[in-house]
Amino acid sequence: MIAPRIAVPDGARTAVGVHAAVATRGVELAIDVPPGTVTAVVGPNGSGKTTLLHLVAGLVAPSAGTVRIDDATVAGGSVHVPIHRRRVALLTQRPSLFPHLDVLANVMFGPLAGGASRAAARARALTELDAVGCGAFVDRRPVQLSGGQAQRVAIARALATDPKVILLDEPLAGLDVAVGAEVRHTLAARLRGRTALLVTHEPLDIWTIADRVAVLDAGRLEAEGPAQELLTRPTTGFLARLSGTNLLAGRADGADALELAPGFLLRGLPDPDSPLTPDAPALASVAPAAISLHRAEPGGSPRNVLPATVVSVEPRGQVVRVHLDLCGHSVSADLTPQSVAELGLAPGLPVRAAIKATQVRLYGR
Amino acid sequence: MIRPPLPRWLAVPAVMAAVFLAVPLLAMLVRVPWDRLPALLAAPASMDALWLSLRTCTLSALLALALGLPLALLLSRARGRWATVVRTLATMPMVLPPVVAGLALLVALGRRSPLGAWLEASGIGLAFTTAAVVVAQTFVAMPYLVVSVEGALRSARDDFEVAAATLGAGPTTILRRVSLPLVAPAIASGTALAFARALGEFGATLTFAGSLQGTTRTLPLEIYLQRELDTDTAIALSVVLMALAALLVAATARWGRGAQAWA
Repeated sequence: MIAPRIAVPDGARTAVGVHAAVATRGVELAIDVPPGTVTAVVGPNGSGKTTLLHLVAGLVAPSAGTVRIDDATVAGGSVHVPIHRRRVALLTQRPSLFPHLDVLANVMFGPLAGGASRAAARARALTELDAVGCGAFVDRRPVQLSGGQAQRVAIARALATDPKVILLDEPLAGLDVAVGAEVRHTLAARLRGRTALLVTHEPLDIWTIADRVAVLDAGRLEAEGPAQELLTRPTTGFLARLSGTNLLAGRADGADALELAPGFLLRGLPDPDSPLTPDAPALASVAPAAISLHRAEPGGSPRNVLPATVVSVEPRGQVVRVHLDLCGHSVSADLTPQSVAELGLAPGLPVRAAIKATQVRLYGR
Repeated sequence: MIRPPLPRWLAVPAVMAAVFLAVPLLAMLVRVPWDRLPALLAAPASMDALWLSLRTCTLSALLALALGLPLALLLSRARGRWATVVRTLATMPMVLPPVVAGLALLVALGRRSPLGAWLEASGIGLAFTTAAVVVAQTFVAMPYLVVSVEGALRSARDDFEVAAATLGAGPTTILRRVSLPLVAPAIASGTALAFARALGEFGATLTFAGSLQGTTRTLPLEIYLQRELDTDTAIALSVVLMALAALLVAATARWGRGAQAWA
């Protein structure tokens, strides 16, 4: 169904550089998006993700600094290239299909506005609609489409203009889980090799669509790098939560242990791509499911056993997430409701946390 | 879903209101000399008034559209004190007594005003011409178009315009292919309203343009004149106005429904 047979457009060669501040929104960003890559933009609400997209699109003007697309400054100083001259596509949660035009006319809109002939615009629109699996309802009105279909048409409409940069602001957030999964698949196929910024809260979006991740916090860029690297070796609390693990920071003790607090060591497997330097600051990531709790000192296989205090107990369907204070670090453990009941876990209760060394990933920062 | 019902006693004043509105119209229809209607309407004075009204109202509605639409577009985006001032000015003629509107036009554009004198000297004097009728009608009718279109523009979603801009459409293309089509029902009903208001114009026309048969004596003026001389003619002409009004109301209601399709 998805056959990307359209030649890879300009988007593959476009770099984006945002080195700009927006004073009214408390945003000051310095980020460079390499050409032909999809960068997932993540961060807490209000961290400046949408502002970053709006800076590139031209919906927000920087109060200082510049925005560059390729080698051209599109905003900054006295320059403000209007939205329609930036060749930037924007997809949001809302498909915003023109209600007075049918599906085909919606997708033809961009090419026509760009000066294409009707025949060329029509051909291009049909190709793009086929590529997102919407070739069958070109003559429908937007009101006759389902949410997923409308978003697919919006993708086709955006790509039909050969944008240099594609900006996506939580494009799947408004869709049902099942529909979202299909559209995610389409997006992954259609965005491959293009320059794009994708704002998302969903780790699956990052794994399937993005090449890189940019983490924003309070209007600043906190971390940026290849998606694989940042998700498997998270360096910030936000990234750790996003990839569903606990992040513990400490000092390397030898090559395979992290000192969490004086006298308390966490042994684990050092990541070969980022080995520990003895005595240097280092990080450990531990999945919540890899932590078991005990009232008394457990015996058995070699593992880390550390003192902890229960902070809170949060039921999450099949599992119960127990928030712990582990040697001064905030850590979450996932337990079954039965074990929570058997252990009689309640806030303030001292426990022993056992963590298998093979479940601990150690890496330098 | 069954909504909780309204109290039954509301039916009494509601029926009274409906009857109150219907009785004069029905009385008129009963009183119409149907057999003599064609002859009454074919009288020269009647024909002159009919044609004059149709011509001037069409022109006024088109003028209101050509000038009022740009004003509505700008006002819908404008903020601040000046926007409020202009918006108030633009709606004034709606609430102003028509005689006052006519007097205001006379003071501003009449022969004895500086502007009127200058126009007269330039050979485009308005006094007692059909152009004066169009000016008076446009003055009172344009606000209806401005208000209804501006309201529609203000309540319209702006994400379509943003989408159009990111697709490479410049301001003129966005206006032509997105913004205006989306408020087309409001533009149509606003124009129809302006036409209807121009059609009923009496006070401002009489005050500013006078009442010359074939030149400035529109349907309402002719009806007023015939009311005592020949009641049957007055009623025959009134029926024409009522029919036109009913047509316009039906049209605006239809366009109004169209607007809800993509609200």
